Amino acid sequence: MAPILEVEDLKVHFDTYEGKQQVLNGIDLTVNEGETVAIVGESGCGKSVTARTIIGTLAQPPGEIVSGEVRYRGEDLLSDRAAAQRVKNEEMAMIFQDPMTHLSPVFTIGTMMADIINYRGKRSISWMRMIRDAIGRGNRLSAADRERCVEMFTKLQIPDPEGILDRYPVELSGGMRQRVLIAMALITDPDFLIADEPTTALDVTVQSQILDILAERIAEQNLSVIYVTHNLGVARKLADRIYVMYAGEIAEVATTEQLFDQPMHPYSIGLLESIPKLTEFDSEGIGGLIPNYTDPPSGCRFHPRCPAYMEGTCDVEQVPAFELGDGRYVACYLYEEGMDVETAASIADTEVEYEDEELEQFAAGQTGGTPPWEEDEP
Amino acid sequence: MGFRSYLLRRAILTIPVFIGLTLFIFLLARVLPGDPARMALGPRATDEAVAALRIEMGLDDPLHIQYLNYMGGLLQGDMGIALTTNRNVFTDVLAFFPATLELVITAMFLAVLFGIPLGIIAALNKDRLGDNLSRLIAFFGVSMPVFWAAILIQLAIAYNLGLLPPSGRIGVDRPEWYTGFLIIDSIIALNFEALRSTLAHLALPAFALALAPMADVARMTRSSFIEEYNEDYVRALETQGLPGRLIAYKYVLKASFASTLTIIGLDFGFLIGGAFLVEIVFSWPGLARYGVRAILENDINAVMGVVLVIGAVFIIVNLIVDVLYGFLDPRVRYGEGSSA
Ligand SMILES: Nc1ncnc2c1ncn2[C@@H]1O[C@H](COP(=O)(O)OP(=O)(O)O)[C@@H](O)[C@H]1O
Ligand code: SF4
Ligand SMILES: [Mg+2]
Repeated sequence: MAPILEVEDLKVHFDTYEGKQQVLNGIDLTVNEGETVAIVGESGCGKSVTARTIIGTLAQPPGEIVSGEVRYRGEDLLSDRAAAQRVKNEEMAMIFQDPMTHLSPVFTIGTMMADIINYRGKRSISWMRMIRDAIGRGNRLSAADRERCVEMFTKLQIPDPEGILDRYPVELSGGMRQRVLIAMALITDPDFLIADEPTTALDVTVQSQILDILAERIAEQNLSVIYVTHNLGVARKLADRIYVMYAGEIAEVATTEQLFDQPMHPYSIGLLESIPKLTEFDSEGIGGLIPNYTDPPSGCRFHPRCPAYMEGTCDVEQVPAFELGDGRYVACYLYEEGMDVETAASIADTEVEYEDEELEQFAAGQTGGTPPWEEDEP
Repeated sequence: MGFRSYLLRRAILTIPVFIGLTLFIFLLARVLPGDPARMALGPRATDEAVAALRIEMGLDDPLHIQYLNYMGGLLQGDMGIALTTNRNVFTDVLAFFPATLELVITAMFLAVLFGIPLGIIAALNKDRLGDNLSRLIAFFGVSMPVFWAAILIQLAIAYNLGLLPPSGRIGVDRPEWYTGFLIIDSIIALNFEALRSTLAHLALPAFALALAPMADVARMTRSSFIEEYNEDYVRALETQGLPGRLIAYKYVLKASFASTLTIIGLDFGFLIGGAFLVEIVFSWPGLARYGVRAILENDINAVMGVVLVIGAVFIIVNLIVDVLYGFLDPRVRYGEGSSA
């Protein structure tokens, strides 16, 4: 399998009142053709920033891409603006985390669908056409396209799939808006889909239905996918490989099977062991422990929470990613390059022990409580 | 809620506002010093004559009866006799107000026509040359007092360069009266000589009057355009692959226009005030000259009439703005308010 997307040493900082937030601290990530990759981590660990940087919608300022490459089919999107534009407009699609703010409030769903279907990937549009559209002649959905929309809406279990075309977003619930956003991403037949927690706004039963549908579409359209979630269960359901992310760094990269079989990184272990505790938290959970990005922990960013923390080793230098015998990568000083899996597993078993309340913190991090910097946004 | 029921609800809401306006004007007129009957008859009239007129004018009736009489008259188009012209004030208003309205609407039209593109250019070139230039223009626009701008423009363009006429509404025989708006009347009469002359006379006062609201509109368009452009849904539209022009001039412009509309509505009231000054500078035969004379001569009926018309225009413009607002932004119709 050839890689379709390669992210290398991506560093993104934010300029805020509290100072420079060093959020992404050297992200390496690869997605192969037709593969679904999940990025998993607590709220605030930088998943959305990663996603937005890849597709090119990171707000700059306050964001700043300090270093790194994002290569899509070999072209570096960070240095080649034309390529980035083309890839964003024609090949990638994104489902955003917050359905309340990602739909234009002043047009109907039908208008937006029509524009997406008729104008996606067009470099420009003539003034004449825009005026014709504005006075209401032309740019209607053709019968066939209308049919396609309705079919897509039906698949996404939107009630009254025909009528929703004439609705404004304000008339729709959050769950409905989220499904509309999913439809808008899928209707364009992208090659590459970035889904940023697309089911967070939905209630649990609908969530799993939508996941099924997504999985089906991914298989059907042979999509390459980055699926962002704070929920390991969701990742397990969809992903071929999982990137476990902590505080702007990749902690562990493994196939879904490998990870659930035997997590190696202490953070992965904590996440997995906390899964049984998840039910104790409702969806308004308290949110995880968001690290301070203006003055992040030295060395391994996880060390203040790590039960296997080794003073003098873990807090000195940034941890490189060690490749283990089974091909997975772990950024943790417990392991060594090329270590075979049995040895690694026994280290994981003996060195990493969590207290109950620590696991509860992990569980809270996975319920997706609104992180504080997003709360005060209108 | 559909647009129609929003429209209806909003229209009905203006009725109490109208009643409030008439009540306010009525009470104001009654508490002002001076006896209308004495003023009407002049200082040499006998006390008996004044008393008789007071009874005839209903001034000795209880206040609420007087108000009902006043309202009754209004509904029949009777605003009382103006001392200065000896005609019904309503007739005077019909005669003078179209001139003012034509001036104000033209000015507003110019303000929007230039203000919005200026604002968009500024927004799209944020902090670059285009932005700074348009902000400079806007700065002059708002900081220059309207009568000062009017006099300067009149001096430079009409008197020094002689490009356009310095005063009056029209330089040829006026076309037959249909609406009182000379532009419309000359078009109806297919009298292009009159149309040309009307536009020439209108240009300078309308431009002078348009400067400040144009600057306002430009500034508002700029800031709301920039704000809207930073919204999340614009990022979504980008990933959905729409051309930049479509995003800017369809999605962002429509959403940002709602706040521009608010400014336009507010400025309209301001324009009528400004029109009083501009009319005097350009000898424009509008309501201002009539109103100023009425105030100087203590002509209470005429003053009430002028204030009522201005208030009514304000209410109507606000209604139109709200309706357009609801038309542009469905969130308003659903009572969710707007982020703008
Ligand atoms: N617009 C922004 N302004 C300032 N800081 C931001 C912004 N967006 C993200 N950040 C910072 O990046 C961190 C990670 O955010 P994000 O990627 O949204 O987390 P998540 O993993 O929950 O998606 C946040 O803790 C915050 O400090
Ligand atoms: S053992 Fe050290 S390097 Fe590994 S996760 Fe814990 S603190 Fe980080
Ligand atoms: Mg996020």
